Amino acid sequence: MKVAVIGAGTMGKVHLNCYQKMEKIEVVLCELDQQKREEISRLYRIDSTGDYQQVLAADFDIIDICLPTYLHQEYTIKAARAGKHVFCEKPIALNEEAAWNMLSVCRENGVKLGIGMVLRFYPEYRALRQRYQEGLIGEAGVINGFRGGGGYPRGWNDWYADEQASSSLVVDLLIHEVDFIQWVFGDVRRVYAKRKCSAGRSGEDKFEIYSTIFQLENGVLVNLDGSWYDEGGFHSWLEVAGTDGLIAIRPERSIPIKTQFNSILGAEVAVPASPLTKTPFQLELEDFVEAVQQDRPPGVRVEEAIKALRVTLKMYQSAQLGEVIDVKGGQSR
Amino acid sequence: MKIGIVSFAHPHAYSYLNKLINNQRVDWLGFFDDDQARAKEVAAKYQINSYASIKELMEQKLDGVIVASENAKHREQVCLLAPYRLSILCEKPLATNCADGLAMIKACQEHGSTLGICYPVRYLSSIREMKNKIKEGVIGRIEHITASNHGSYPGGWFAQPDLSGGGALIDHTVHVCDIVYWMTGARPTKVIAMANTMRAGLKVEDLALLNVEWNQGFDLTLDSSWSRNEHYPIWGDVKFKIYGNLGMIEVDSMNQVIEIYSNKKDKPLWSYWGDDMDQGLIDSFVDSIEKGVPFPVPAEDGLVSLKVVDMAYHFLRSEDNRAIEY
Repeated sequence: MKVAVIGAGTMGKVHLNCYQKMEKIEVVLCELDQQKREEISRLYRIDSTGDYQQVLAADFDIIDICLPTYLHQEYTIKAARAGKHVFCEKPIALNEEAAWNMLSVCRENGVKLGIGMVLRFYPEYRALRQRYQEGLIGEAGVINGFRGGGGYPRGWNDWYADEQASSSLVVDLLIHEVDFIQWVFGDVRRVYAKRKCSAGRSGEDKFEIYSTIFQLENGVLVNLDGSWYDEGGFHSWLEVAGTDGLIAIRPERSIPIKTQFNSILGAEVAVPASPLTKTPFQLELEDFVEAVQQDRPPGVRVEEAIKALRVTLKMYQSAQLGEVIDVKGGQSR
Repeated sequence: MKIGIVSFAHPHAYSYLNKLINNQRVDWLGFFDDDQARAKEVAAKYQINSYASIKELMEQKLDGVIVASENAKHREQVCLLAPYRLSILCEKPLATNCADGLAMIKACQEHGSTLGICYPVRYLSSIREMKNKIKEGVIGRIEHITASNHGSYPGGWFAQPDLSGGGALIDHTVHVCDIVYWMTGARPTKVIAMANTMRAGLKVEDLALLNVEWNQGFDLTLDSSWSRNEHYPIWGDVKFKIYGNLGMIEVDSMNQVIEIYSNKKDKPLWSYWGDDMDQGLIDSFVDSIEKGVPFPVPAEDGLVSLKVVDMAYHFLRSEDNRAIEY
């Protein structure tokens, strides 16, 4: 299988690393920034190109898009029209219309579309799901969770700080937990969100905080917070209290090794990692490669990724309006 | 000093009694309880005088009295006590709604009694340290607070709405909101709440999430659920995560424990060794009586946090996705 990774940002590098560990995968990098391209290409000892048209014309099986969110639609559609299967980083797109468009173009061209909802491949989250489904804590009642704490990310051209490009923290970060919660516990009915964001471009003191409360169709309550704020490192946790018990994923029980880097050396988006033979990123990419090889749907359906996007966009809207928003629209209380 | 207790309905009453016994300056204790069986038990176990009515208890010429009855009885009992011109300390919440709370405050003012409220969380050193740091401005302007006051299911009258006024929401929201008010002086302006009942057959909510906006530009997200089950290693928590524009403070006030894994217990234990907040509260009550000053946490403070409860239940009853802004 031949894979082209598009974009050598934080996620692009993570994906390159994964493909190199996988058997029978030939991986190439496509990156517009010449200096970055040469540096990464040397570091990973792989071929690279700065020309996406060249990638589209070549015989790649999969195009893996690790670009800022606002570019997902354009690059996915071009790849699909060139007959390539597409794996695209989360969030799938900036809005639902773009997301459905991506899916329909992929369908029309008979190619698969996979979305990087990687949290589903984290063993601790999978274990929580499995233990919950074994009935160990009865029926879920209230869920508390958090993701973030690694400071404000400094992406290419500061795209995280541009709401038109990223749709803010909630869409980029909390989409993971929203997807996981909907996967395991059920669809979200209504949301309320508060957002605090300091002005300006990313820098030492820029921050963004989201605090959300929401309720699922089955009544389960959730408090999910996220921050791009320096909380001493990126982390996430989740706690589910039910009728017969409580299950918790806690950072202090998830990190067997810690390494701290001096922030003066320049921070990019921190990627949470707990040493494993195969990282969750490798598992998600292996799943997609296998889906292509066996002509089966990917583990995470695009419709589910879009459903998670919808909820986070409603949170974004709720934070702007200051009111509870029904995910399906209309009155549902 | 002579101290009375009105009702052992609230389990905190037993703790307050023990703290009163510990306090050297208290030399007389008596009580009234409208539950005769419970009154007999308490009198026998603690060897203190039981009286058949509030009037009989008041004939003993007390210096102070603690009301620890069911929430819905606070108003009537405090109003009965008010004419005796003494220091009254009422268990939280002050009442089941602000109107009742206000009536209690007015009755005490009219008769020259003082009315204080039991907010023991104010007596924890970690909470005091958090308040001092906020006052010093070390994290700058507060932007957002996420807090929790998770607890276990208390059962009994706590689940009877006519006696409790509500479930986990009224039981726990007031603690956290009081700390926010005490720490900042801010007042609540808008409340969004989501509640649910997870335990089968329960008539009150045992799960509640709130977002409260305050008039200093920050908001508070709060989980006040009775979400701790019987096998959880500790009763619950009181946690704060405060984001400022310059830094953040995280407080897990019950995180002063030793872990115990014993073959003699059916669950692991987090055994708490931090400040005894109830002792702090009771000693402060006794001090205030000795000095002839009102209890440092006036009932008016109890009204601020009860206002959040009123607003939350109003929002839950309304069929609107928008909250009234005060």
